Amino acid sequence: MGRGSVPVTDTIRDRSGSGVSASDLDLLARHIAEPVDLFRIVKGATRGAPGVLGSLRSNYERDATPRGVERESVLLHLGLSMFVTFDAAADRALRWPALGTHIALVRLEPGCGFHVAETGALVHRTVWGRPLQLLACIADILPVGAT
Amino acid sequence: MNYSLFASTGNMIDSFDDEAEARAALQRIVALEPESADEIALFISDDAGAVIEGPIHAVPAAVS
Repeated sequence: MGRGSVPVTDTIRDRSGSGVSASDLDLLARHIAEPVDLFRIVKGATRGAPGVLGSLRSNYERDATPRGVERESVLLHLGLSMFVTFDAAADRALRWPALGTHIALVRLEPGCGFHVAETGALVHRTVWGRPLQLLACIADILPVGAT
Repeated sequence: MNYSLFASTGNMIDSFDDEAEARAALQRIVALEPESADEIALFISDDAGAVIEGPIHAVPAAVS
């Protein structure tokens, strides 16, 4: 399996392709055993910008009240949303600027205990990792309109 | 089709394959937390994951 790919075939999905729903709380969190590139919407243009580190915190870390399926799945409350392509992340951020102004390329490297699961839309992933280690994995940050 | 609820933190908080269920879930959240109306949005995407509609925000119920 090459860089940036996460296998689809072994994950738990319902027939619609939706990996998570209120009635389907099982998911497969894969350990990052080889580099995987994902894209995260962030609020800042550089790795040193305070908003970027903040953007790598889960809703749980932000003391956000669990909502939706987060009430039934602590995993979702503890996870971060990322996307498999720049365009998938940027499209959402362009449509809703509150999400963030930039897209970070996060190169998840083995050895940090990262986990990733296919959840939601086909292009969406939930990632678990410590914020400072995720910050160190940012390989690039581009404005959402950069394509 | 996929119907995902996102918080303005950038994190997904729920996901459905049924639009009515997704819209009802969004409305329930906003009913419980009216102040969150601008912080939660529904995105509708096709089977390839491309967004076709969104963000969709719930309107808090009027207080009589």
